[in-house]
Amino acid sequence: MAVDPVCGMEVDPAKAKYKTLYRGKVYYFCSSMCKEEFERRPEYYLQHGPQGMPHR
Amino acid sequence: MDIRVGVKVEGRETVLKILGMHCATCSLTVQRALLSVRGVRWAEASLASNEARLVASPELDYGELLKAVRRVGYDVYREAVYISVPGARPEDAAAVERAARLWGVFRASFSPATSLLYVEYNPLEVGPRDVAEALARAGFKAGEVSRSEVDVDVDRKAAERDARDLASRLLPAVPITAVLMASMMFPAVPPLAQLLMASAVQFYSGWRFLSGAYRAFRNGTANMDTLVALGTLSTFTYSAYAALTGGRAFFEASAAVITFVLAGRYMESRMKLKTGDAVRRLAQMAPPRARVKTGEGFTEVDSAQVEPGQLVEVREGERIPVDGYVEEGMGYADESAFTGEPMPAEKKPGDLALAGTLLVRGRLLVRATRSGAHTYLAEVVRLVRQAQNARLPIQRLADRVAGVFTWAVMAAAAATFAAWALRGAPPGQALLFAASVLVVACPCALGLATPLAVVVGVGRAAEKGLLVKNPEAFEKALRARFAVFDKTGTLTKGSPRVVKYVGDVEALAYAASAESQSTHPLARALVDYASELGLAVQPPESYDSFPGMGVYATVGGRSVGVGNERLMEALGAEVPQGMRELAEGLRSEGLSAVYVAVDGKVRGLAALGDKLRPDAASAVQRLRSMGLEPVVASGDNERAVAAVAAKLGISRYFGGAEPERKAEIVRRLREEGGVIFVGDGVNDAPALAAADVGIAVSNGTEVAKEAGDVVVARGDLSKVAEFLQISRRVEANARFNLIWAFAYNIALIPIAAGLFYPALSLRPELAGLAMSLSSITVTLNALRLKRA
Repeated sequence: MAVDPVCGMEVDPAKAKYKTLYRGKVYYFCSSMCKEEFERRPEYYLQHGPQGMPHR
Repeated sequence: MDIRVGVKVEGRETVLKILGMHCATCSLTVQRALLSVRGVRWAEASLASNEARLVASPELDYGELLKAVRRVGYDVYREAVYISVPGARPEDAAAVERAARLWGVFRASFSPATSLLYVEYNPLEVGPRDVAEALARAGFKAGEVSRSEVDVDVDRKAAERDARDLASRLLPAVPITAVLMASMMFPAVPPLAQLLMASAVQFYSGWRFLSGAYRAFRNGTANMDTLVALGTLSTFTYSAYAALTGGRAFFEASAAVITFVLAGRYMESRMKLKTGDAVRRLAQMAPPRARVKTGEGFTEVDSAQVEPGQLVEVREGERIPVDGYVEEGMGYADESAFTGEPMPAEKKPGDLALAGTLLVRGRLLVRATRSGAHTYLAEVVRLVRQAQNARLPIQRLADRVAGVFTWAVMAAAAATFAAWALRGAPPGQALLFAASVLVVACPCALGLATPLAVVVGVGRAAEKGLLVKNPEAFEKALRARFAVFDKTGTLTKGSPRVVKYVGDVEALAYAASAESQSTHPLARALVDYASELGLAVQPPESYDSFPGMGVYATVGGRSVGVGNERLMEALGAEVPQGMRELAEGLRSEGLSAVYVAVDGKVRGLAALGDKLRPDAASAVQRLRSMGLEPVVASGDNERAVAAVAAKLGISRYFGGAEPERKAEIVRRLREEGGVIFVGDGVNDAPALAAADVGIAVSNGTEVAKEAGDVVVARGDLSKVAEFLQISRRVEANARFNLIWAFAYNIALIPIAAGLFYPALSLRPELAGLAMSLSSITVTLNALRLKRA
């Protein structure tokens, strides 16, 4: 199991629909919202850890 | 069930099974979507049970729930049935649908052309039996209920029963009417005998009009039956009174009207049966029996009973009974029913064989994968049937008019009677004029106008290998200004080859291994190329694909990336200047270039080329001559797309477009005019959905899963133009029917009212004949589409 770096939820890499590649590592997300949020500021989430569901 | 939830929410509760929810955000999205529906007071979607519960006011439009959930990208589990409603008239369509729209019914659509009601419902709330009961309450007798939509005989059986009933009632009416008409000139039959004979026609032969009128009355509506019943009953009653008091009777009028209208309905029901021919022919292509290998020999079993994995023998001249792959043998199969392609396709071991196709030469052993209701053929039939039950948007006007039409006609008849009586005409004659007005009006031609065109048009399209899933596409296609094509696999052959590789062989082997899990055409080309060079391709330990970038995998413990600059950048791999320039050069020749990175270092560059389809240029040209502007949108890089566009003389193109971007391009173009998108049914789903008309070119056999309004077999771009052509014919046909139906009523009602008397007038019996002819005309006209 992988962990969504934005909301902290567990995501199954085999089934994940949303993922991105950043600095040679694959990150999986529970939703397009988390993915877009991560792509907006990846460094923030990698340093601070999951922050919960993004609000928009 | 009325319940109270929490403190203040009152209303009716319902539970929906939601499909596609896989995370917490999803359930929130679904919940919000449900709450946005008018009438919903409280909603909650649970990820754990995949269910949504909600409380709503009883006036809630249940169908809106489904639309709301689908709009945000999820779906609701539902079941569907076809219920035949033999007694309903075309102008009753709205009443039937209203009656069927119970709590729990998402969609109810009645096709006057087939007399079938299609119901999509929530099995947690209602069942077909509830719908049938609701129909009965509204006075419509529900006939057969068919769950397996493959059973195309439901409508045929219903229509045949109807025809038999009509014939048995018509049989005594004909000679009696003949005698009555003769006695009009030679008064040989005494008036009382005439009364007896006319009664038989009025109450036995004409029974369906009386019961139909009563049913409509109870529903607070009026239909064709109301008009016929009123027209004939009034003349009959007057004549009976006259016969008993020694006045001038005209029994022949009521009897003849009933005879003519019955005869018209008989012909109509016979002809309507023909409109469904195409789909019936399709459904009957699957042979009922199959020879399955058991031990040493073969045993004959029911085709639907064949299990996946069993071997089925097919001999020359037989139709293939199941879907499967050829295990042994060689032959040629005629697949024209699915593709419209007249040349038989070669079948050798490993090839896909489809149920219903004809083995014209050879003998095959087919390893079954799907049988019965799961075959491609069954799926096609199901989709075509569903599409045939739809109405075109232009029909809405006709339906609105038909709704008030009968009332207007009755008012006109009353006015006619009053006007003639005031002018001093004898009551008998005033009544004849009024009766003529009642029976000449034909709301049913209005109700039938587009449904018939859709049934025949969808069927005809299916015969040409065009699977129309949404008949509204016929209308929308004609308003389109742009035809947007996907490039790879649509305009090009979709089977690219590696034309050049720069780099070390080890990196190539890694690249091929990384790509071995992908179904993307470029990936397959790379794997084929490596295999040809004799390199060992191994399955990767992990694999991920990134649309618009490339793939990233772990092979033998090393991280391997194959893709464009964006992928390299995300991997943090530096592309050497020389290699970048080389790639640019290759792309300007219309080739695709991908880099290979191993452990963060770029070690190779592969150039791949794809050939244009031979018919691409002519297909694009043909669309242009039909007034459409061709556009290319592709995920490939800008330069490769530009090269293809230039070869086809297309000036508007978009490269580097991922699936979502393509949808965005479509949306932007739609601001300028209607858009037809032609592309892959799976990868281009967002763009297909965003377009006015989505045409999916499919190479798979999972038609139902593909997006798009129309599905065509891959490899035949001319089908797009063919679809436009059929659209024009269907639209013209429906329009002709509507105009004819309107004009006919507008022209004949004044004549029937005696406005031009005595120069031009219509006796009731002639009016009845004219009315029958009008619905027959509409039906005949729609049947012309069979040759479109």
